[in-house]
Order: sequence, then C-alpha cells, then structure tokens
Amino acid sequence: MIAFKAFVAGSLMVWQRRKLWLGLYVCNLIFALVLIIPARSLLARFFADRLAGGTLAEQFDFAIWAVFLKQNFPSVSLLFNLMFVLGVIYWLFNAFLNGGILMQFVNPEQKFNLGSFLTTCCYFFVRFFRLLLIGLGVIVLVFLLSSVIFALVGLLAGNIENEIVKSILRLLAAGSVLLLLLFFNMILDYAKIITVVWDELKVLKAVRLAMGFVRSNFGKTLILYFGISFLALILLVLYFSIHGWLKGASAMVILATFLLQQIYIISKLGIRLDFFASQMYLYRQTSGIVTFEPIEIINEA
Amino acid sequence: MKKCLDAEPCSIRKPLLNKAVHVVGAWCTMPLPPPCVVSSRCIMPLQIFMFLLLGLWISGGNLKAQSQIFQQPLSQRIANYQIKVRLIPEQKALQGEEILTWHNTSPDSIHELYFHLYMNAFRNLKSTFMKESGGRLRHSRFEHGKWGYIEIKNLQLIDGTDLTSAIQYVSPDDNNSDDMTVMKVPLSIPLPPGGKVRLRIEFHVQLPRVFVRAGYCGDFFMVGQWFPKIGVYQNGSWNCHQYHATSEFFADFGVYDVTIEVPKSFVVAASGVLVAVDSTDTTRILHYRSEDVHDFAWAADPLFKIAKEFYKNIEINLYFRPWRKKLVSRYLSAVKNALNYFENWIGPYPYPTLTLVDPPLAASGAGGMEYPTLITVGSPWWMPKGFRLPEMVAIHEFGHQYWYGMVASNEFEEAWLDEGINTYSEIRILGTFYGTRTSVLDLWGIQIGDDELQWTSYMFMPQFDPILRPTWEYLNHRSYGVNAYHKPAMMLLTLENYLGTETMDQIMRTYFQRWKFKHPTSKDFIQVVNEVSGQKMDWFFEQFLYETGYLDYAVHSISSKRQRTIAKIATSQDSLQAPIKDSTKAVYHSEVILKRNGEFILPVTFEVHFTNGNVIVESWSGRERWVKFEYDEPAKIDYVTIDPQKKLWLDIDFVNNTLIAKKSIKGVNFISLKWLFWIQNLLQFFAFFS
Repeated sequence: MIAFKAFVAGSLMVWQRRKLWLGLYVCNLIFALVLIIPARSLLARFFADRLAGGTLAEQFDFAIWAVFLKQNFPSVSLLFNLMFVLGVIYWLFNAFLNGGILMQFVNPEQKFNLGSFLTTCCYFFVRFFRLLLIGLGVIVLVFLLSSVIFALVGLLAGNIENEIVKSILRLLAAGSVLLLLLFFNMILDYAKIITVVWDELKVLKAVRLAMGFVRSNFGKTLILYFGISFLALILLVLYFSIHGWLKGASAMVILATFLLQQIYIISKLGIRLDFFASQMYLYRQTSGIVTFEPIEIINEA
Repeated sequence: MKKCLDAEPCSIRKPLLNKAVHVVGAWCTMPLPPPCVVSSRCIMPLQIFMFLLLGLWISGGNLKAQSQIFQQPLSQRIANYQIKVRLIPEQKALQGEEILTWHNTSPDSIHELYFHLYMNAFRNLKSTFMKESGGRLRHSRFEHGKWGYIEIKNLQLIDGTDLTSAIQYVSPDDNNSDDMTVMKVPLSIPLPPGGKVRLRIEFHVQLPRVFVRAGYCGDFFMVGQWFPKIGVYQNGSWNCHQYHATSEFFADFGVYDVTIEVPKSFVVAASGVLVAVDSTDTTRILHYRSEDVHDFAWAADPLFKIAKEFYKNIEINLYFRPWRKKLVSRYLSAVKNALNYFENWIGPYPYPTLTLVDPPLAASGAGGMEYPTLITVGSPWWMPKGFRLPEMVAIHEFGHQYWYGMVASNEFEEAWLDEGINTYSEIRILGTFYGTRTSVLDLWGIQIGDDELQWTSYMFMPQFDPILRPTWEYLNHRSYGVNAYHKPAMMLLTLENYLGTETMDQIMRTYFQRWKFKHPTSKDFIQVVNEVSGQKMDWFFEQFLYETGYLDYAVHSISSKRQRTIAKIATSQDSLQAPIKDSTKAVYHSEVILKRNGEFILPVTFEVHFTNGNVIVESWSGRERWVKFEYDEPAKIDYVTIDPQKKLWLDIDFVNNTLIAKKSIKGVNFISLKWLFWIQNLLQFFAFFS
C-alpha cells in the first residue's frame, strides 16, 4: 500500500515539476539532434535526388538499406562511434543533473529555479560522479556474474536434450541478469537519495545505508521499483500498438508519428523522474522524515 | 491426406512397381559371383545362382521379397553399392562392408580406381578441409578432439585378390600430402571398356561430433559421406576431388542396397525405400533400397518421432525430436508446395519416398543438406511464423532433388549448376507460395523477399571471382556463397526477365528433361538456353559466368532548359490532333545522361517522366560508357528511372537507377524523425544507469 501511495505521491511531485520535466526533454532532444543533424545530411546526400528516399518513407526496403550501408559504411560507422561518445557524455550529463533533480523532490513545494537547480547539480556532482563510477563497477560485476550464471546454465543445459527447456533456462538466466542489474540500480537510486537528503559526503556510506534501507524494506522497495518498471513496459506496448495504426507517408502521418514518438519520449522521461520522486517519498515515509530543512547550498557554495 | 505422428515408421514400403525376387539379408555371408573383373557380356550361370540361393537359405539368411523401385532404370547405373553397416552408438562409430559393382562405360581401359573417403576430412587439422575451413563452417565450430575418420580394413576384388596394400592416398587438387580424402587403388588387370569390376571393402568409420553435414551429437547420428565412394570416370580421367570446405559432391548414379543395423531403441531415417525390417532381442536391422541415385545417407536417433504425409503417391516422412513438433506442419507444407511447383514447372518427382530429417539445434551443422531422396532441414524451434526460415530451408533442400539429385552436375567444379539454379528455383517457389515481397520475412512491419535477400548477399561482393571456378579456388567461403548461390540466382532472374517467363520455363523444363540422371556442364545449360530461346545467348553467359566484372547502370544527370515559346507543340501523341492555340506554351530542352559504371553490358529500358505527366519509354543497349538523350517537350523532366520494372537483378545498385530533377526531402525527413526517436531512446537508456 505504501508503495502505491509513494507512486501516486511521486507522480504528483513530477507533475508539479513540469518545468524540470520539460527541461530534461529539451536536453534529450538537443543531444539527439547533435547526432541526427549529420545523419540527416548523410541521408539527404544519398537519397534526396533519388526515388528510393520516397520508397523508404512508405515502407521498409531491405535492398535500399543494403545499398545505403554498402556505400556509406565509413560514415555510418563514424555515426555509430559518435553515438557512443554522445551516449557517454549524456550519461555524465545526467549524473550531473541527478543531484539537482533529487533536490527538487526533497522540497516539492518550492518553485523551480534554474539557477538554484544548477547550483545544486554542481554541489552534488563530485559525489554523484563517484556513485556513477560505483554504478559502472556494479555493471561490470553483474556482467561478470552473468558469465558465471550462463556457464552454470550451460552446464545444466548440456545434459538436457529438450531444446524448449534449454531455451527457457537461458531465458531465465538472461532475465535474472537483467533483474540483478535493475536491483543494483535501485540500490544506487537510494544511495543518491540518501546523499541528497542527508548531504552525505561519503558515497560508500550512502551505498551501505541504501543497502540497509532496501534490506529492511525489501518488499516495499521492490514493489515500487518494479511496479514503475512495469508501467514503462506498458507504455512501450501502448506505443507500439498505436504506432502500428500509422501507415503511409503523408504529411499528416509523418506529423502524427512525430508527435506520438515525442509523447512517448516525454512519458518515459516522466517515468524516470517518477522513479526518483516515488522512491524519495518512500524513503522519507519509511524513515520517518516527513519534513525537511532544505540544505543551504548557496551559502556553502 | 494421411498423417501420423509416431515413434515408429508407420509401415514398411510395399512393393511399388514390379516385384522381383531378390536375395536379401546377411549378404556378407553370401557367396559371391566368380570373376573379379568381368565383362558386361559375362552371365552368371543359373545353376550357380540357384546354389547360392539354397546356400543362403540353409545358412539361415533371410529371404525376403524386395521391391524393385523402377520398372526400367532411369540412369546408367554405373556405381552400384551393397552395403551392410552397423552403428555402434557408444563408440560413435560405424562398422561396414560394401560390395561395389562399377561399370566402365568409357571407351578406355581402366588401370586404377579412385575413391572418396570424405570422412577423413575430420581426421586432423592438416586435412585440406580443416585447413580451408579453420574449423568453422556453416555457422558451426569443430570441437577439437572429436575427430572423424574412415579406415579401410580390407579391400579386395570379389575373387579375393587383396588390394589393401596397394591403396594410395592422393591429393589431386592441392598436393596436400596430409589429406586422405581421396584413395587410389591400382588394378592388377585393366578393366576393359564395357567391363565391370566388383570390390569388397571392409571399413570402419569414426564419426566426428557434428560439425559440417555429418557426425553425432549425443544420441543423434547423421550419417552422410560415410562409405568409400568411387569417383566419376569422365573424359578420359578420374574426376575425384578432395573434400574441400567450399565444395560438395559428384558421383555416378546407381543402385544402393543398404542394410543398417542399430540398437533396438534407435529410429532410423534413410534414403530410399525401406523394404524389410528384422529384429533381434537387442538390434533392429533395416534394409533400404534406392535406385537411380548417386548417394545414400541416413540418420538415427532414439528420440525421433515420425510425421508422415503423402503428396500423391509420394510418401513423405519427417523425423524430428518431440519438442520440435511445432515446426512439423511448416516443413511438410513447404515440401508439398515445392513438390507441386516442381511437378508443374519442370517434371514430376519420380521417387516413391522423400525423407526429411530435422536435426537437434545442437547439431545444426547437419541441417540444411541434401542427399538423394533425403534432406535435412533445420531451424530454431521457436521461429515465428513470419520468419520463413523453416520453409526456406525445406524448399531449398528439396529443390536439390532436381538440381543435384537428378540433374547431377559437378558440385566441385561448377557449383552454380546446382546451388545457383536451385536458389533461383527457391526464389520462385517461395515467392509463389508466400508472396514475393514477404517470402522470407513478414514480421513487425518488416518485409523481406527472397530475391532481395539473395541480391543483397550478392551485391556486397560482386566481383572477386567469376561464377565458373572450382569451388576451392574462390577467395573465401563468402565468395563461394556469392558465386555458387546468389550471383547465379540473380543471373537467372535477369535471364528470365530478358527472355520472358514462358521461354525461361521452357528452358528449365528442357534442361531437366534432357539432363536428368546425367552429368551436365555449364555449356550444356547454355546450349539449351540458345536452342529454346532461339537466340545466341553466349554473350550473356560469357560476361556473367566467366568474368569478374559487375553490372551497374546509373542516371548520371538530368537537366531541362526553357528553349522558346511556340504556338503549337507537336509531339508524337498530338501531332494528328487539331492545333492548340496557345502562344504562351513553352518548350523545354531536356538532357538525360545515363552511365554504365560496371564492365558488364545488358540492354536496358528507361523511363523519362515529365512534370506534365508524360512518360517516354526508351531503351539503351548499354554498350557505350555513357549516353546522352535529348528531348524537346512542353514540360521539364520530373525524374528518370533506368530499369523501372527492376528486371536487371544483376545491377548492384538500384538506388542510382533513378534521379529526380527537384530534390525531395520528404522521405529523408521521415527517416530522420524515426532515427531521432531511436537515438532519444538510446540516450535515455544511458541516462537510466547514470
């Protein structure tokens, strides 16, 4: 029940922070545009004076894409590299923003102020960067663990003739790796919350406290986290269902597709904020912290 | 249609056409006819035959009525085998004896015999096969230590003259002294033209872990290329190549009488017709007969289930493991479609049986292979219906019953004649039954046709090798794929579009009818094309079979300039109509430059579309490197398309076949928006773990 309450309260907080939500969307769009501008120029150079461009707008054409890839392989490969670099920058950028975002949910009544938001981001960045490195370590650990899990499943499946059982075992292994990754990510979310709420300077202590919190509120934290994850899944299904109705390449369809896609992106960003807000609410409620004295960051800075 | 699912064969094949009394059973105890090298005129006295019959009866051998499959031989029956083989599952081995009767149909005296010992390809890492493949082939990896080999325990003429010590291993293709896939056996007495030689060969086969085509995987056994197999004596010499990573096989037609002994728990799938089954307390002995074929393969597995169906009088048996049941109807429906298509297209399937083996996924290297009257299929069990991999494999492998099975071209030297023609057939059949645009994939809004798929594989690597080249001489395995499968298929699609479907159908029919149960070459195919089409098409094949160039037409440039204003525009369409009083109408002088980028030349049509809707259709021989066409029309050019109906499947770039006068970015924007969305998602994924 508390998990559901936290979700509702978190969602309300996100709604109250619409400016922040919008701001995050704009950032996401700008980053994506950095990549899409050269990509579009590549497409335009190749397709603008050929009928194939129009064909691709109408339907997927394997042969045309194959020609495109063959003739633009160096450029496409460059774009992929650029995408990776941009992804890493965006990852760091989000680590920078997270402190500011979480602080918004510490005191949701306070009006959004860009200056104070950015100051908070700066204030927490070093600690959040450390948490990011810990997160990276956790990802590496999970992947190492996954190779052990898959090796075990391989050993187990080696003696099983039934291919369906084998596939299910492998699927379970992959699923458990994913769940593990999400679980550790959830713990790191609480570590971020603890860092902001208690202005905790030692990130390892924050992680330890987060683990303790999750351990003592195992059911609630899991229900909340995977409940919101399930919502993201529903959103995905919903998107693809509606997207399936949009056929053709008329101006209206293009516009409708664009709007649908952006609504989906915005909703996903909302869910990301909801993770923070709801978990913050849950943490506060279960830790008995109902009101906060906002940290006077500006003075300290 | 009758259909059954069972762990046991539904029935033993009843005699089909003409029954003939024949001696069957433990033939290794059978007294053998006298002369080791006999002339074709030599006739076994009736008394001896009766004596043998009696001897067998007394010695406890089973006498069974054996069905002769065809009333009249369909082929020359040059290489005939009687084989008795025992599977030893715990050792993953075979113990076999074969009696080979080989007819010398050549005008030469034969001094030596050549044999394929294919299983020796897996003997060690030094074999030509392993050197060429590097232990990786057909999405499969060789498991070190799980070697395979064949040992000749004894080889003698039927009169008992021992030839074992005379065996020599030769490497005609690459002089690799470590390769033991070809064996030479000198004959003590030359075999005269028209003569027959009978040999008794005892052999032991250690099966490898399934890597390529044959081997074991747990209790599943795919037994192909397993017995000492005589080469083809052709044009005054032996055609007996080593087993290469990028080659398949070549052999003479004959009759195969094969007795397979397996532990009782095993279910056997084999080429040909099951004519008798014997059982002891622990074993099952199955006797198969296959006529007018050039190979014999079988599989055994205690887990096999059988699904049986009929197409007219042809019995189709699919052997599969129970959890792969989901694919059964897909495989069966696909081969029935193929049977139907081939029957109407070029001629009926003459054999009474067709066996399909669906290997387990862990033995996928054994899947997708053809043997006469037996094919192996293969696909992951979960394959969604929109992805037609099971159908594609089944149809392709079935097609080999025609192009390889009956029209037995040399797969070592002219692989395109079976793989290329078969891929062309596969494209046609898949297109007919599953839709041209959706014949491979129709899933989540993504559609891919087999023609596109084959074309894509071809266009990435169009010019490293000519199609006609011994398969092991291709640059690599990919080039083999391009030149044996994809490029020839595109060549035949192009030829079909050039000559017309009706003429092409007649060509394929004539080629099949003329060359079934024989060994045609590329020249024979070309001759049929020339004869049926009534055109000399050598220029076509000279380019695409023998050369390494490529075909690529492009619209290089288009331009339109306002020239003058006239009172009346006379075009071919309106010249006979009343003058139009429009003094303001302009004439545009337009130029179109077409370019041939590649070396290959084919006549091509192109369309010039004007902004007023007019379309001019023209053709270009393609001989010049570039050509300029000029038009004076009352409108500007809108766009130009070369090969608008996409007839030239050999063209490696369809995108440059069009050029638009006014750039259009609608499509580009639409794609960009889609990409934008996916990039945004990807960025969010990164952010989630920040």
